Amino acid sequence: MANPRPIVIDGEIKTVSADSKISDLAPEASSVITSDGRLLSGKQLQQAPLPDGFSSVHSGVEKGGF
Amino acid sequence: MKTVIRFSEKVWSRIRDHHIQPGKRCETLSYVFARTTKAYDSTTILVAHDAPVLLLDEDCFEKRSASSVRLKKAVLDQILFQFAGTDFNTLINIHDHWFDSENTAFSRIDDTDDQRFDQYLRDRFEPMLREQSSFSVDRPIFNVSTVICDGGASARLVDTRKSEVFQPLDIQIIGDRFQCFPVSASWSSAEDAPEWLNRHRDFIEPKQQHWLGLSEVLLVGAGGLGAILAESLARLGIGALTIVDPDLLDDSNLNRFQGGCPSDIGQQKVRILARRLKAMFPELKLSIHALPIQDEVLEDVFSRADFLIGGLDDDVTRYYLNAASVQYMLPYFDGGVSVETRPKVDFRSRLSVVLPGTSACLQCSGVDVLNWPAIDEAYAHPATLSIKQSAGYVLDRPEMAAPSVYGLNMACSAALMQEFTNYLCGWGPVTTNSLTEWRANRHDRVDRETYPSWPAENCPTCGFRSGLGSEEPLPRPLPQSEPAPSIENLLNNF
Repeated sequence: MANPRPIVIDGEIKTVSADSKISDLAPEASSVITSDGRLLSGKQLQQAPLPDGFSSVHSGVEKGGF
Repeated sequence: MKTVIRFSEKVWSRIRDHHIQPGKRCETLSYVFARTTKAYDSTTILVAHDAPVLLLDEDCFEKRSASSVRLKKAVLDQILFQFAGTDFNTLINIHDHWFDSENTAFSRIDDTDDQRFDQYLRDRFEPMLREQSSFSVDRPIFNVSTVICDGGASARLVDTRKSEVFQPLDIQIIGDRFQCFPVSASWSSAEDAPEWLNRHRDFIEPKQQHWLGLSEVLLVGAGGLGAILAESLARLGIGALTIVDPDLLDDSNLNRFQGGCPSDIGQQKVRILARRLKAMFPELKLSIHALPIQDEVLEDVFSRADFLIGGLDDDVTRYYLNAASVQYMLPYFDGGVSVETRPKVDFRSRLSVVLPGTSACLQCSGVDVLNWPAIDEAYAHPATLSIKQSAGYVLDRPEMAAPSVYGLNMACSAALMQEFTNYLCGWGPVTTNSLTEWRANRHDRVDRETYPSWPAENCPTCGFRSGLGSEEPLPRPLPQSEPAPSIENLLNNF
């Protein structure tokens, strides 16, 4: 098993296990965007509520028509 | 106005594999975040190898059929919320025509939807970015729509504030092999290429030759190497060439400056080259700049170029071009020569190729190309330099006239042109580094197959600058005019 490693969050040093994910360290973080190409599920995307002041779209997006 | 979208092959293949997979029977939609750089005569959209790619699962869609797809409103809201919190300024939507190998035309439904979504971006999303600093970053947004099929792709900028709402984009894919889907690729046969290029026909496909005619190369250095490279590029059929070099022709340059005449001495090298090239290739679009490439007024030239070629004798500029290559995602071909005189005469020639997002750059390749003491010195703060000088370090080295010879420059230029053409035509794995030493009868060559080095995450260039475009200033040496305090003064005030 990999050794715990120190990280700095907001200037504070914490020791975390090597397999920690961002969500373990900052559960309030709502971003699910990654660049590793995995599929994003609708359920996962809609976990975080939209903040007050967010201007929602009127409708979804529709493509195609051939 | 030149408009290009440049994808890292890593991102492109991920999107392509997702949209065009065997057994797939319905359309799908995905999103990518990117950065757009606008220059006075070009718009370039950069999708770096580490750009966020949002591939959406089935439950994101309200409806999917063989030829249409509808994304849930709540999912789109979340994508926009995620996008709002980043500093990317470009949102790209991609849908597919999995059922067709050629058709990448946008439908009427696509047109309507792209316009409706763009109106939302202009009327509500952009104002929200200005007003809601708690979860968004204020910036203008570029809206791109893309269709992909098995044999091609089309992309367009959408902006409902303009009279021409849809602006087509040339698509370039920067990977081990160069791919492109130019908007104006209306070639029909080999006859499209001018007759003087007919000896290329057996090894450069008509489509590739056509693309060469649309391409623009930025050549930095118009000296012994640059003069040969400029003519070679024109003879290959490149459509546009921008040449940058601040130097004047000196009589000592005549031993290697191709085509140089005694009457040219004292003139700007770029002007001499331009005059000659125009006479030989009247249709070549040529721009010249007698300025150092680091000059801020020249930053736009990186935006509109398709390829970057360096014929330099200076590692400080090479370091700068390496950063520009990664930042603007320009494939970079760099040649270098040296004539050694001690302990014995030797002739050395070197070639490096940087494929941004695909291969390691000059800084993380593991091949020792750059002279770091010279770069550190050029980028040091003037005060630091002054203190070093006061402390006894000799920094003001007089410029030495380096030995040089025409034949060696020709050999190096030939190798560089060979690799440039190889990259465009995809004949074989691209050589990323080669070194030839005449005395030792040594020719070392590594290519993408034998030694495929990748961009290092912790590389200060690849890990930080990839695809940033003009959002980040290029690393220019500090002006040396700043007054430097003496070491006594510093110590007294410590």
